[in-house]
Amino acid sequence: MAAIERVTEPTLDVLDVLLQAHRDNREIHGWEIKKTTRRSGPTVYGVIDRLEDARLVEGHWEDQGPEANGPRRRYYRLTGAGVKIASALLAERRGGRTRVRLPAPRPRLAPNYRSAT
Amino acid sequence: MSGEDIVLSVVIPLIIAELGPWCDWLARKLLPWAARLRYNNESRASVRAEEWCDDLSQIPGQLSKLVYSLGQLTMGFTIAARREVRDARAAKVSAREEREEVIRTIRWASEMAVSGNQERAQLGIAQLGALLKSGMLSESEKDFVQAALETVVGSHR
Repeated sequence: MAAIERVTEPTLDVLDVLLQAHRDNREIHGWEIKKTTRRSGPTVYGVIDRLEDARLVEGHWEDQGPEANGPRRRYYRLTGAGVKIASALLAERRGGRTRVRLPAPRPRLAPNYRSAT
Repeated sequence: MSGEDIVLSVVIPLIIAELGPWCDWLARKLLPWAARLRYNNESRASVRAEEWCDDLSQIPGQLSKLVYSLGQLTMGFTIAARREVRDARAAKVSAREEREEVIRTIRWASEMAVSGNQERAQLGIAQLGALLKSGMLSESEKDFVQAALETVVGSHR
């Protein structure tokens, strides 16, 4: 089973969010993780890099229609090993308590609308 | 209307309105650069650059987009600088290890060459000759190996 090099507080926050998403049977993108954890973008993506390297998290691009020309969104989910490790780590370090609350999923807005807001 | 009023009511809003789209444009241009700086891995850099560009569409306002990009760029610079220092240190260690290996080989080959056993001496001489041609020796090491070879070969004649 893969291991994470460093288990920092931001790592636990990101794992917490990903585990909640897993329990809600949904996927979550980087910006949503950043907003939910209230951590900076570079910090969150650094954690995602490490989790991906350890094969605890896997990402995939959203399916965009042929008419879409904007950047794609990348969604993340815990792998089987990721679920086990995240549950164990959060139970050990935080007594299984959740520090971050995953908001309800919001539908993706059309790119034109999003860039105008 | 005074000149100051004109600046406050017309010029500054015009500048802000003009700079807004530039902030958005610049923010999108900075992100691929930030990703390349941060990652040594081209495919991951490309994934993150596109992902971060999508993040920009979540950020309200134009200046905030630029701030987000500058944050990623700063982290990119920091990580690239750390990587440079680490690589330079590793190269230094590697060069030192290579020198140590060369010195060990010279010593071993010289000991073999003067061992008194003909087969071992031939092996040592061959090794010293190979070292001399290898381009791995400094000038003083070349002089030493040359002198060792001349001595040993002379004594064998």
